[in-house]
Amino acid sequence: MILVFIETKEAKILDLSLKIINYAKHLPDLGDEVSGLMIGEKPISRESKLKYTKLDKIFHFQEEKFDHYAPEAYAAVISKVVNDLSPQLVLAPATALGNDLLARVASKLEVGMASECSAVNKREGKLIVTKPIFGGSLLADMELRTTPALLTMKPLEMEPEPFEKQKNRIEIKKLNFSLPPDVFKLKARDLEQSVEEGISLSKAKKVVGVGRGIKSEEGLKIHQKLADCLGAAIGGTRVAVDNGWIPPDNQIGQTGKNINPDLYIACGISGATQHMLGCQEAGTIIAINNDPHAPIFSRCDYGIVGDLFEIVPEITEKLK
Amino acid sequence: MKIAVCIKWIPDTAEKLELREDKKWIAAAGIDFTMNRVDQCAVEKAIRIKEARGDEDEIVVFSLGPSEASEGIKMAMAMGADCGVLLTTDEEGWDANCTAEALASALESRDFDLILFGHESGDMSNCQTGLRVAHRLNLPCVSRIRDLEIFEESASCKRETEAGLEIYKVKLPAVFTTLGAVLATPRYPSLRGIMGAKKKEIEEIKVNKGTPQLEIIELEKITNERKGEILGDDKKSAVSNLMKKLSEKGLLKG
Repeated sequence: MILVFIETKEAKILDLSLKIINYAKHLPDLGDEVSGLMIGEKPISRESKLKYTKLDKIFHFQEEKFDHYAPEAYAAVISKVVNDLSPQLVLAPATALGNDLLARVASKLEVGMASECSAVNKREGKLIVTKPIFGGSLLADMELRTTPALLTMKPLEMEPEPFEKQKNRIEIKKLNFSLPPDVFKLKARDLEQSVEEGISLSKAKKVVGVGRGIKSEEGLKIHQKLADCLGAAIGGTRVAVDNGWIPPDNQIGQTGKNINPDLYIACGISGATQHMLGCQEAGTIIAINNDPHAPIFSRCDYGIVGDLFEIVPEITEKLK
Repeated sequence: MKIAVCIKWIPDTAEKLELREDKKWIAAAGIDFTMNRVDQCAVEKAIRIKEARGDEDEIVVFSLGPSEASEGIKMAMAMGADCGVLLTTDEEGWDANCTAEALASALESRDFDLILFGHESGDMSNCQTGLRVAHRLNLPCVSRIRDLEIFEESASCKRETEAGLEIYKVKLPAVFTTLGAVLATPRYPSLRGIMGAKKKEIEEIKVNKGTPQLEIIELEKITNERKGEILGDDKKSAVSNLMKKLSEKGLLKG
């Protein structure tokens, strides 16, 4: 049996969770039963997309104290369910919640876990997970040697199938057991929306990135104009942050954010690996730089060699 | 206050990575190593906490790896950490569980008030070691944190998630796994710092790997599919070619 932890946001199921359920249904070597596990403050909503999934069963643990994330209490629930049901595999989305939670469950149950996996299968009796490593420059096949094995996933290959409403009603099993009070000692007191100026970088469809080449705060202005014209968010390299041109929240790269816009325009950015790791999931990357030998020209789709201060306003002008 | 920061010494460049013949790890030749970048931010944060509180605090840096991993500890000491502990091993294939076991036993008897980890390593990205160490030490742990503030016997922080920032207040001692630039951008070690680090001590403890739960079978290189086509020789033709490409790809719409 495969147990899928289903993450919700404001009582709505995450698309990534639906993808994972779908993915789990296509793992014939790993048991033909796929059950879901939901934890939350509220009952499962009537609008819930769950009726479109092919889950065999859903276990639901409702607890009014779960108005905010209580890491140890969540981990206690999952550990108990895993102990009772003995699944071969436990899957969760590779999100801030999934990664935190499964690492706690893995510690408690003393079992193995792999984070951020793109695939899992059985080969010669071994459970093999595939995951990007070194920021996505290598792909690793790794053996997970424990039962159960815990995985957080971002299944890439699996496009969500068009959901059909299932004929059979999914059986919802309410879980009812009490948790020791000390597991609630660690609990978020509140949830604050992150305050990002302008368009949110991590969700933006278009991003203009700035680096050393913009030279000054003055230089930022023409790039801001380009961004405004495109409806793009502004991000940049560590150099741009160090110089105070952009806030730390807008840093793209290994110590900053990972972005996945359709379009990324990198201006005056040389293309150091630690920056490129943060933007490699962008659809199209355009680079503008006056140094024809800058490494970014081998890591972009299209490049323009030349002076930013001439080219960027010209593009903005054309866009108008 | 006693602060521990656990750091990882990892291969730096991703573009030059070549696989070893057995494909179980990367070939070490010609590769630069560095302190995992998010860990540098954790070290920086520890130093800022110490600076804000006065010089009484002690920052101890822990790392697990071959003898070269002492370079990471030296870098942290040049930034301002006080001393280091290197858990030395020549064995490879340490998974998060084995690493956490060794780190926890080294940390256990030393009574730290605050233990910091980078939330993710730039090589394996398993995001587990800090959480697993906290479990073994029976300490509370908040992962992916920013805005860490230290009070007399507690700390407050924000945990970054896709849904927003979760606010925590935690009693010390506690473990935190930290984000990068939004927590603290690391300083470059000063010449004085580098000279001073030479006088600071690194204790070495030999460690043996337990039984890993997660093991590399085979690595594969992902090829860069971006072609880097240069659009025209002069400004005018380059920009008009760019417009054409953007329009073809439907990237000029809303």
